[in-house]
Amino acid sequence: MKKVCTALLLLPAMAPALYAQHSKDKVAQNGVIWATSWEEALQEAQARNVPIHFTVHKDN
Amino acid sequence: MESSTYPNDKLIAMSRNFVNVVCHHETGHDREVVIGREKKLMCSKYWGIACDVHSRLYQEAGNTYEGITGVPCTVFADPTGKELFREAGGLGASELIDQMEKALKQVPGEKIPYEIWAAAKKQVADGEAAFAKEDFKKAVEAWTKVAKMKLKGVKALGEEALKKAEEKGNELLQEGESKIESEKEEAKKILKKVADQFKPLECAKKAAELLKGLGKGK
Repeated sequence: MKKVCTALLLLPAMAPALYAQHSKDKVAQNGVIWATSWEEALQEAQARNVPIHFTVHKDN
Repeated sequence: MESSTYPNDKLIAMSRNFVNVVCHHETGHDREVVIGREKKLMCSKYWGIACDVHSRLYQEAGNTYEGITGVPCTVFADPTGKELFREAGGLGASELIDQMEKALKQVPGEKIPYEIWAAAKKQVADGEAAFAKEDFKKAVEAWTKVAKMKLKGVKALGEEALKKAEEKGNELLQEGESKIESEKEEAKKILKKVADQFKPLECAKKAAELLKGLGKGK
């Protein structure tokens, strides 16, 4: 538990660069983190033992 | 869903308990953003990725789940990718959160939240960078921190990285040992490096023992 808390406390310093993304038209500072490949998604889901949220969309 | 559901704070928090995959064939939503000092193209519909990512995912994985005839369609799958259930049509944030809760209940066992996973991955990557620069002490320290974490999946990341360090340490140890007879001072230098930089690994303990022996023989 102590280690988990330590990791959480260190988060602000370790957050991905994307958290800092910004632009003139104010990009959200936070959002759903989307996988960048299907293979990586499967590997990560298995390593973390978490379900996959898979969604299919198209332009209106 | 892109403009109303996904930006919802509660939904974002819930999504950290999942690996999220979006398949969207069309591109053209990119706009330029500044990340640090770099300008990058990012999709305006899906946070943190460019259009080429969701378009490539459509090609890679769009047909993974059979029978998706209408979009939007949301599929929940277990960690191996096997479908649990699906919801056709658009979902509001609270509806999607309800479905996510339902999916979470169907996956038993200890789960690693995204934040902890990301922090561990960052530590492992920092270790890799240090290792590449031959700063073995920094690499071993970073990987040891991860290997000491309680969650099994995170621990495994650190342990796997430490194997590489042990391998390198043993390689240097052998080099040091091979020089004990012919170049004693050089051997001591190498063994000291292993003993100092690879602590608390087995190779460091062996190197320390050898150094102790060499000291006695002086």
